Amino acid sequence: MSADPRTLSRVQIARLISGLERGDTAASSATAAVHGVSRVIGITGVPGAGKSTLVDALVALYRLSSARVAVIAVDPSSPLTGGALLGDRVRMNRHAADEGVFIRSMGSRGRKDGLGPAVQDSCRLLASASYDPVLIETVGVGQVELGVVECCDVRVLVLAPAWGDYIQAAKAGLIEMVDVIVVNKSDLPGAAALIQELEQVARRQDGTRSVKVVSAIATHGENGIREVRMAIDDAWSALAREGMRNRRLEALVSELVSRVTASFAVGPMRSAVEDGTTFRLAESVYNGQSSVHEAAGALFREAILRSGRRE
Amino acid sequence: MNKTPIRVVLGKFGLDMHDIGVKFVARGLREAGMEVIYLGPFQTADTVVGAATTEDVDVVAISNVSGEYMVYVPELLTKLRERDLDPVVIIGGLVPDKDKHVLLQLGVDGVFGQGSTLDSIVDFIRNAVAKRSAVQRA
Repeated sequence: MSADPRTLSRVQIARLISGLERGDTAASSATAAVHGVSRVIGITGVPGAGKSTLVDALVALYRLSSARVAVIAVDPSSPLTGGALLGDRVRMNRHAADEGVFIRSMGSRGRKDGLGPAVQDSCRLLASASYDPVLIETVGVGQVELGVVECCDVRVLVLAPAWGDYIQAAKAGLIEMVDVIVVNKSDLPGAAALIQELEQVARRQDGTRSVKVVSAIATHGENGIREVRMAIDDAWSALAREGMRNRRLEALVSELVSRVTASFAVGPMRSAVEDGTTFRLAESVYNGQSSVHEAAGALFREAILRSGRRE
Repeated sequence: MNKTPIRVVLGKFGLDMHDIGVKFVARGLREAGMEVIYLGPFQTADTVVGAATTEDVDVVAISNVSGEYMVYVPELLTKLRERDLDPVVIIGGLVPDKDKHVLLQLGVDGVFGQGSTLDSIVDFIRNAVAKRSAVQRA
């Protein structure tokens, strides 16, 4: 594609994104290699923490100083039916009539971890079309969201004072990985205690990184939202001064690994399942004819052979 | 799951807040393998068209029990056409036959009044979307 992404219409961008979701190679080759100057902000947290409401408020704020703001809202697809209820947009739809705001809802479509190439390429496309910031909102539960926030420049974790969010987030190692923690719904009981606990953890970080804890009530307009935005912008500025290159390189390494792993799984491994090779190996283990390790080794060699034939 | 899911924008126009039916349809479409971009109540032609644009949907589905569709649908269809968008447009809810006739004349693809089954809506959507993409490919 030779067109400058900045000249693409919203309809064209939307259709390109659909192409990226389908895995169209033409669409993939159209995306720029890096985010460039756009800020990519990842927002994750458990369901019910108020992420979408927060994103809605942030979009309004950013829009005051930015001509183009984008949101990619990712929700899980049913592994059984492939369908998805993409309901994040409901909280932001006041921006739907604003030509300067691009909101795209995406289902996970079978991906079990991380954001996947479609989301990452769509983010690049929007960034190269001068959308800044690009906010990526995802549900995060447990280990999954570590991969989710990795590709973003600034990482925001949204917690609410209920359901032992802190324990979950701490277990998943998220506290160390994010730049900003928002304690949303801070009018609810338990908020002060949670904020205190988080600030203690944030203080214990080694000097090179500190996590900013912000209290907010996203539904109440001005309550804490400016502080959230300032924390995000401060984190971005700090990265721009030092560390952006490393962060983006780490994210690219991670992305390359998962793309190759995924295509290995999709191609040779799937064909081995489909033609019964994997099943026969499983049977040989079950019948005591070989060990699991031997069978796995045989499958791996077979998969390498098949991927060699493919190329 | 190799097949690309059908994408549907689903909402209610105006001040009609009775959302039990539309939520039921949302869940049903999801179970039928579709991606449902749920907008909920309080939508206008502009917000629905804005969503349909960036979400690149195959279907725009509106549910109303209050007759408000009559106010918004003509504007919706005009604005979709202006932007060169051609999703399948369906209206559901409490739609008397005389309104159904008018809506179809305006260019709505399908109308699902009281008593319509989820299956009939799903089948209609699948057929209509398939026909549209066959036409586009031709």
